Amino acid sequence: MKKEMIRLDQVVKEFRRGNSTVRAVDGVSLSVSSGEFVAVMGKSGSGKSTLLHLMSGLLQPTSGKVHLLGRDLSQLTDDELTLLRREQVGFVFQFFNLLPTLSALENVALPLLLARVKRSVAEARAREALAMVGLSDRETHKPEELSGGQMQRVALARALVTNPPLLFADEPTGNLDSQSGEEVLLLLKRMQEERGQTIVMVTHDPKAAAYGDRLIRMQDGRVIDDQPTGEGA
Amino acid sequence: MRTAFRALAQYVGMARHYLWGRKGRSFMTLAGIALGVTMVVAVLLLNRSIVSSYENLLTAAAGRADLQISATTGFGFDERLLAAVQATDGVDVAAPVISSSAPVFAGDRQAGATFYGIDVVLDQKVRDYRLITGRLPAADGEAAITTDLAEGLGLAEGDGFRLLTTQGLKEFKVVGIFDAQGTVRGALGPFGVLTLEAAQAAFGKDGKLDVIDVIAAPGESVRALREQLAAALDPQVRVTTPAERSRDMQKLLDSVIFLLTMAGSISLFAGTFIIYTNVSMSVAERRRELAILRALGMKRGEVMAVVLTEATLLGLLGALLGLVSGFGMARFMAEQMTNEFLTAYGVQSAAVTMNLTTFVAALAVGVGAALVAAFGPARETVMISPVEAMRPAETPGIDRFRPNWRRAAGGLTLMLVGVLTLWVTWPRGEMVSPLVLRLWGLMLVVMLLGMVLLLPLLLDLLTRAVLRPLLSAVLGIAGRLAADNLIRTPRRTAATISALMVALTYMVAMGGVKASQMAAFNRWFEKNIGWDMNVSSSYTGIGALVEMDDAFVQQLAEVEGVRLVSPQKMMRVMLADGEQAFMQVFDYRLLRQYSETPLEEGSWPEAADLMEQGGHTIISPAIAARLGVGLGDTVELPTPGGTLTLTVAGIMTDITPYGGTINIDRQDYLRYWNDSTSSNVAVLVEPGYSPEEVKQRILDRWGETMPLTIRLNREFWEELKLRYDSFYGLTEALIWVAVLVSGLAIANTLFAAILERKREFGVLRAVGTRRGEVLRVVLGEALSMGLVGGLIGALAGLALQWVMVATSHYINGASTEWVVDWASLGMAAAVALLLAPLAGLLPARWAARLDVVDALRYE
Repeated sequence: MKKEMIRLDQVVKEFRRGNSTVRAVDGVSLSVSSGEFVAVMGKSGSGKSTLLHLMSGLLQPTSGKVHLLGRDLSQLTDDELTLLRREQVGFVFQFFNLLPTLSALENVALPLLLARVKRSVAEARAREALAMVGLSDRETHKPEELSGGQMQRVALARALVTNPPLLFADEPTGNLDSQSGEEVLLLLKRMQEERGQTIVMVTHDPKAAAYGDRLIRMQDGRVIDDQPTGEGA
Repeated sequence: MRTAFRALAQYVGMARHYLWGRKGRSFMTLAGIALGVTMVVAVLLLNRSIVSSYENLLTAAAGRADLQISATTGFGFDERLLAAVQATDGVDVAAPVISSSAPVFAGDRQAGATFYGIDVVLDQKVRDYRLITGRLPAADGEAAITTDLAEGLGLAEGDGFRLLTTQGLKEFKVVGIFDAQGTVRGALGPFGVLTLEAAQAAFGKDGKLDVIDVIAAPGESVRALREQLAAALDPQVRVTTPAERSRDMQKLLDSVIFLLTMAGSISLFAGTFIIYTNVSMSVAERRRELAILRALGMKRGEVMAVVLTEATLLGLLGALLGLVSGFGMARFMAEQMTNEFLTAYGVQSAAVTMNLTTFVAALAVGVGAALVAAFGPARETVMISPVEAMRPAETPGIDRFRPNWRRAAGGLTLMLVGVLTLWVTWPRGEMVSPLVLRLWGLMLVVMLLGMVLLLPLLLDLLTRAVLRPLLSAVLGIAGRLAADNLIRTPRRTAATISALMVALTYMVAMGGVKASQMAAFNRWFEKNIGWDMNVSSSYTGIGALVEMDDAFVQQLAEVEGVRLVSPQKMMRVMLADGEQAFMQVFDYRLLRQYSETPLEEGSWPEAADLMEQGGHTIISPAIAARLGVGLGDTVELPTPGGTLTLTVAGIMTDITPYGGTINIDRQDYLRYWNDSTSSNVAVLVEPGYSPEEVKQRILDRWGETMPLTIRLNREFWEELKLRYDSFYGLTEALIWVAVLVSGLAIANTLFAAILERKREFGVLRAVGTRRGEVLRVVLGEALSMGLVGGLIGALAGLALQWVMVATSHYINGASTEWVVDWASLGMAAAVALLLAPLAGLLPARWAARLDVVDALRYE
């Protein structure tokens, strides 16, 4: 039996906008098992990104419970949550979010350096991660010297460097041309298949969603469809 | 016209809306402007107040006089001259005056006041006396006093008071009280008038006059009259206009004015600069907002108008606040100065009044700096397309904005110009003119500006070579990120660091100058002041004003426990070059038994041997430079008994701020001045007696009949030290305002930097950076700013101290030496290392508590 990586029970997330309250996620319950590649799709404002933030512990739910790797996130302090992210979770963002002052290698090594891993060890592992995404020859480049696709691959290497069991990707191809986008998706797929990593990816691109093996559709904060991609895509 | 007005109203409305909407940031910017203006206003007003109180002291005292005849010899002149002046063609009025400061006693109250001896009939032609009650004195024992003196002593018409005279306390009766404000001498503090004869007797000036005020006959040329009088009169007097006399006296204040000019230059620079930093920061961070206005259809000019209106509003409000607080600060400083410091120069009150120049300067600094600061970033924003400006900018890496070499070269050039100017105008054996002093003040600003332009490059090099490895080693990746952030926006960071640098330069330089003077003073004191106690009847300290006669000195020698009495005399004289000097008269036969004059040239006791013979002098370096004389040369001194020619036996270390000192032996003084009074008496006690015990015996012996001021050796040291402390205390207030303001600038810069890098902090948090670690990144950045500002500030401060110490010698001839003041260096280090992180604490907490999702958001 596969291990349960994420579980959401009746999760609600509300935001205050001036005097009114907006319900971004409305009573979602779901579970993600280890080794799954889940794609979350929906229109703008459907609550898909909020769902991702709730799963990864970047947001706390207004009500309901989120369990990540068996731990109830509402019971963790900010520091514990941060450590959980540092050690167990990798993030890939739409706009890469690399630190402009650091080289590609340093950007990748950042989570290890933050965890006070010895610099030489951190750099060796960062090199491995960069090799995995095919950027060994770009180690010393600064983000502004890289193309969009390369930047996203560096971001992916950063997400992988701690070898986290969970990977969250928020529109990872949203800012890339189609060829670069495909390269990134193939890499994600490889991570799932070769390293058994669990991936949750938010996207509004059906082609990207097709790389997942499960598709969750959202609308107005609710899950309106949740099934394997073979049948649902 | 109406359209323009409507547009302006609209801009003001938008600006107000924005400023009010961001109260916190607006307040910080406003505080920066207000404090900047405060510094400028305080120094300008104080400067003006000191100069004008001195001008008042002399020109006001002159009343309607066109010319004044005064002694060159320092102890009045023969009163028979009056008849000669009155008989001169073209003289309408010639009114004789005697003046002296003296303590006054009434019951248990005591006050210090200036007393004038006048010819009641003649003097009223020169000056107005607005009597409130009674009349002017007509006989010995009568006095008229000002309302403030009457109030201070609780006196009314008909009451009596005691005045300390050369012969001890003497009773006077108040026959009239006049309004101080309505009198020309009103600006001088409390005073009183006696009859001429009474004043001559009271102050040991029988047969002498201090001044004759002359009014030229109608139609008479003042210049011609002056030449005529100068030719006809004895060389022991000189004829001047009241303005010239006041200028002469002002030279005494040159060293004070120099320090204040320097302080003013730095304040003006720091104030303007701080306003610039604060405002440009607040405009830069609103790039996107301004772009939206453009996208919505506002023209470039209109967006500029909105921003500049905002800057004007802030500048105006800040300037007005700064005017009020600067005025308050100047008043406080003037009061401190008068109490502890200026009284030594005879200034009893230094009134601070607002004037148009200061008002305009405050507005110009406040509004001008805010406008200039807002213009650059606003223009940058409106010149790029709105779409580009609205795009969530990837914040620059460290290589995008490498420091501008041209700017750095410009900075270096400015610094070189400053150094060259100093080198070219550096005095070589002469005193510095006020014009050169002003030029130096200007060059100081030029060099600081050069430093500011050079700083981005220095910062870049320093960060790459030192800070990045250092912080990485100490704080890990957090330190590395902090160091990198410093050089991502080098101009902005450099601007903030400059503010701190200027404040610390000021702190180190002033502390160093004080320490240098104290070191020279201590060395001088140790050698020069060998007596156990000093007895005088003076009220204000240096330059005893009520003289003691010979009989008193003899009686003092007879007090039990007294081993030796050595009468001394301090007075002002005019040298052959027409300039003033401070003359000290010692009996060298006695003096050498208890002290040694510290010499820079010549040797002791050989110099003492020569002085004992008579016909010799020991002069200060300032006099040597002024007259161009050295050891063995001769100096001519005009005296009441004719010209006294003296051979220079030594050149002494001089720490007095009086523009030059000349020492002569008492036997020469007695012969040429025919005066045996003393300003003070140095006393040595017999072995087995304590100075305290002997002091008490002396006080008991004279008691009520003659109030004496007796200072023990240590007390005198403390009194002089207090004078230094109180003077430098003034600059300290300015330093702390500058420090406070640079703290504001650091906080402001960090807030702006965090706003700009909000997403980066979001990423850091998302990939597992703890709040504490984010806090460390920002604090590391603040600390780095402190380190750089502190290091450069300390070095610049030491350099400035060197210049000031070296030049102070040429301003008043005082001997100083360059010593490192570890206390102020330590204080600067503490400020650099503590203030910066403290100022960074709030922005750092803010960064650490950023909502991660919100920070990662693009819209």
